[in-house]
Amino acid sequence: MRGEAIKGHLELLLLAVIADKPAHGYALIEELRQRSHEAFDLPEGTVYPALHRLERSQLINSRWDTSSGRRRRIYALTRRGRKALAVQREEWRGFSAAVSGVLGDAR
Amino acid sequence: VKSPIESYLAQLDSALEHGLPQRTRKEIRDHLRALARHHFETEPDRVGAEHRAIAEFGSAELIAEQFNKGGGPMEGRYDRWATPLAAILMLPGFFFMIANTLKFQLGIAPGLYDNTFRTLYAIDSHVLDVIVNAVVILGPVAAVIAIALSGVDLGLKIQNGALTGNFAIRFTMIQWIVLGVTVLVVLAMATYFFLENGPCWVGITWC
Repeated sequence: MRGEAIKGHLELLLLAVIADKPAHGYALIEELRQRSHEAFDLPEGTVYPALHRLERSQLINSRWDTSSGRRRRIYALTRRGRKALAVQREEWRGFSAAVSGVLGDAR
Repeated sequence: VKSPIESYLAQLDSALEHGLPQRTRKEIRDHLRALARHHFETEPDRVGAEHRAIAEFGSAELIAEQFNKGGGPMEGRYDRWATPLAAILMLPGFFFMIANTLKFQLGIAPGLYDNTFRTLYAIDSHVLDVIVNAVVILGPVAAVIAIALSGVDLGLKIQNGALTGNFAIRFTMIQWIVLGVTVLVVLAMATYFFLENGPCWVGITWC
């Protein structure tokens, strides 16, 4: 899937991945790839502008971590981020069901 | 000669409206190095592995465009606070130099000096004396170090028997101003110090 197609949803996808486990940018992009069965194959660097937007909105926070022997910046969900994820998830499910209804997937 | 990763970071730095802050520079460098290490397992050429990592990461223009749209890259906590911290550390020295110059060099506004420093020095306490001197003299030096730590990116390591490294300076206008004033204060203090003590050291005056 082209990057353009998921551009508007990247932040929601990142929130969902981070919600399961705090992770660094490299691991996040790998997780996105795996969960989407390689469908979401973005240029890796595009994850950082999205992560920094989320951090600026205080939906996630970050810290340096060296426990693996290498320095990594780890991102974790904030309380506000968890609430935002719940709301956006519901909105997405409603939208997705509506689109499916129109496209006739349910028939 | 810059490595492909360092050249890429320099490109990204110039493509970003407000430059590439230290934190994001380190973060992206770490990512690219990890990716290059991964490719190096299958590709014997280290430079080739770095180029491949960069290609997968996305062009500097693309990443910069997305950062610019979202308000730019985040700064680290230290970088955000380094400039105000440096300004605070430098202030006592700055004030001391201004007051000192006004009174002893220009012969005006003596109260500015007397009312502050004489009052402090008049208190009969050796400890207070040491503290005041340390704050006035070491404050600006600490300020220069604080600013340098936030704006200078330096890393050296030996890789495959060769010395490699990275060096970049990224100061905002405010940081340049604080740094400039601080350096002037340090230089002025050093000049005073040598003018006062130099003749004695070289034997021109008795000490």
